[in-house]
Amino acid sequence: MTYAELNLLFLIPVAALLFFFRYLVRWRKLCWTVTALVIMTAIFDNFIVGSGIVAYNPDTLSGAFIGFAPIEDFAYTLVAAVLVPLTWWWLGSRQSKTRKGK
Amino acid sequence: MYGSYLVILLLSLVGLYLLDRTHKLAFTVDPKRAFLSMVPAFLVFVIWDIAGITLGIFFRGNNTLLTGIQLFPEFPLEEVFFLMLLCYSTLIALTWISKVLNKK
Repeated sequence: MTYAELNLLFLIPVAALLFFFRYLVRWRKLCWTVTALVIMTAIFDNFIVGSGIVAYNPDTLSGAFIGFAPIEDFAYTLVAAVLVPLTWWWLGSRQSKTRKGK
Repeated sequence: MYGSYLVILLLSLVGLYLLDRTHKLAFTVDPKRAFLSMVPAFLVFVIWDIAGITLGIFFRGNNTLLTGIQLFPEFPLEEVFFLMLLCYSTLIALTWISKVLNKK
């Protein structure tokens, strides 16, 4: 299995969650969060790949890189930048429901 | 230098906490919500990492920056802190961006 195929197994369910819980999403905040995280990943991932902290089997990569960082690594960033905010907003919506119920 | 990656990760986590505290963003405001918001993503990343390692896609690099402590084969101790850093960076980015946009 390639790295990109493995990523799809995680990206698709997270995309489905984003669709299902779209009523929770503040889109402008989400877009800025994704942008910030992509920039930070491009810097940090170049450091950890460039310094050899992590290594890859080249046969499993698409061959697209941003500096030293394989493009596939950005799937982690996308999942973090969607799943953490979604969970944060979901917890917030539950708290405000509880408060209303009291 | 031996173990310097772990030091970098821990310093980054402390730095994020200082931002959190200075701007009253996440843990400082609602520690339970802040912690729980990172749990699903963290667990997904652990599974994702183990899958990638098992499939032989990525592995621990051969270098002196790591402590060499492994929790599973090819899963270094540092990865736990890296995943925490990824989740916490996201939360701080989100809450900071939210605060700035809400003020407008």
